[in-house]
Amino acid sequence: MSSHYVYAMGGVVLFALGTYALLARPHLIHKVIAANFMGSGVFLVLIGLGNRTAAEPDPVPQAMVLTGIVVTVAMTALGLAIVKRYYSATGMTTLDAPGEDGERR
Amino acid sequence: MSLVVHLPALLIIAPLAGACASFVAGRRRAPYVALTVAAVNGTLALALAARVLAEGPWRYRIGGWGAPVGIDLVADGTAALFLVLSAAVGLAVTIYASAYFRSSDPAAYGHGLFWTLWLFMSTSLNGLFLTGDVFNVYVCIELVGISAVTLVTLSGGPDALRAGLRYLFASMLGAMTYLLGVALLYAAAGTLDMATLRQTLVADATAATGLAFMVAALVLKTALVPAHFWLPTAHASAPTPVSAALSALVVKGSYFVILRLLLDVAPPGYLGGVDIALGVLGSVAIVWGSVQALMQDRIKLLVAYSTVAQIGYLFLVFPLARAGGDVLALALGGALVHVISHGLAKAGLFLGAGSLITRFGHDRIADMAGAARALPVLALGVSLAGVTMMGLPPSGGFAAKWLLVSAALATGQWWWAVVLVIGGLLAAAYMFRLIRILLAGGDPELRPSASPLRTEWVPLALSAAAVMLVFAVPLIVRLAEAGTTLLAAGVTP
Repeated sequence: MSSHYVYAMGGVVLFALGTYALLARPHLIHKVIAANFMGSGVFLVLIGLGNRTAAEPDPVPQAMVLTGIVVTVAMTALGLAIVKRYYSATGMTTLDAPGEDGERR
Repeated sequence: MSLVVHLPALLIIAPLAGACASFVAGRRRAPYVALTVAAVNGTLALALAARVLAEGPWRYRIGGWGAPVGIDLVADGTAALFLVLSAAVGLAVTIYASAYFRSSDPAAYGHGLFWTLWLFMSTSLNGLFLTGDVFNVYVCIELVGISAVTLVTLSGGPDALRAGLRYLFASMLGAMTYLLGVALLYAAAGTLDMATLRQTLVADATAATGLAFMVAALVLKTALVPAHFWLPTAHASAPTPVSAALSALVVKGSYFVILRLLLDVAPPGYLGGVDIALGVLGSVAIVWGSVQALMQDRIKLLVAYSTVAQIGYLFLVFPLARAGGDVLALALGGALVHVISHGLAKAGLFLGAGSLITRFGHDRIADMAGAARALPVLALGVSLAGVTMMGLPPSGGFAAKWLLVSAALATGQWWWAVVLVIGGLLAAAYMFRLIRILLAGGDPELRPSASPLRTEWVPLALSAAAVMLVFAVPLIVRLAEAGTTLLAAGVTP
């Protein structure tokens, strides 16, 4: 198994962890970080699989990763800004009304 | 002449330039910038549709590079229809918003940022409808998502922020899943260009998995049941012009890409039973969304759940399209007529509902009795939108269902026809519940607050257009047929 597959498999694992955390963690900051995990996972898959055959690295996946990073940074900034405003407006760090696990910080 | 050959690029440049100009122009002058852009955008979209109708599909090489180095734009019949719908709804929403925001507190629309974000959203939607590249789809969908989420949270209220966050997380989940799909597809096929993919895609587990991830992500973005959880609150708590644009256009953007991937790029049956699964989920959406709409007490939530239901119809095209040939043309024609009639009617309904809320000062359906006497134009607009939602003849909704039922019967898949009929009855139930209250006697002394005339006539114009669409059906079907041959032909300008 070549090292490229190790990167790709690692990427898939990161993606899966991120997906789980985005769906299961109630804390909003955790969710934003989880989405970034998913992004990093995808970028690893792109780089890992993109390089597996050619003797020279394929520039297309690298271009996709660069674009993806820019988009993810913008999304993260927007997410954090809205989380901050939501926190100032409601004092809550979760989407659902404070309840059994809503107060978890 | 020289400008005409650059129509696809102009459709992206014009709203983009407008977005930047509206930001510089400031709160007072921004509406005029937006109105100008909406008019220009409409002209460009019609010119593009006319050219596609006359000369067939069109592949535009940005900067003359061409695939695989450059990123190509593709304008075919399907794209032209979505662009025209987007331009028409965009113009109506812009006119409505110029009146809607005038009376409200500047903070309620982000001190004029509405206009800039709204034009950025139009730009990204136009880009999405024109792209011929699966990675470019990701970029456009993210741009639509960023502007849409921000527009939802514009008022800054706790409910709007909560709805915006839910929408944002759904958006991120969808975008990342889509990109994972692109990574797998690229690893297997070695290209991102849709036309090349169509010619080179072979049965391959990696490519099929990638495509399945992409479709799943787009289903989430289109809010097909059970991935609809984010839609009702996001669409209902946004400012009214934004609700209309989200329900009429934004969910159609991701649907457009599903059409491209499953009908243009992948060979029939490439993903096994996925097309049938989409049809089943669509049927569930029709019933579930309608029942939810029937139970809502607040008018914007009713309209939002109606969107969940109406999206279901769009997915019936996939099991029907399998048959290919004439049935595919019928089913695709039906789906596209439905996209347009729902887009127009739902924009009319949301704008009408927003005006009712402004005029009555509340959003409780039960307390809106007497609207027909006090606000006849608004009540008529809402009722006409209802006619098309229910699929009563003559209306765009009726024509769409007629085409879909014909396709279902032609392939012997009568059960989809049953779903279409049940959906129509349920739509009648929730729309009549609203219309009955609007027509009821109410308080004869009722004096709703004053509001510019535009807020009454724009919803009526949209709903009337959705009804009159029945006359444009042959034209739409012709454009749809100009779409199905597109990517195979690999056409050049």
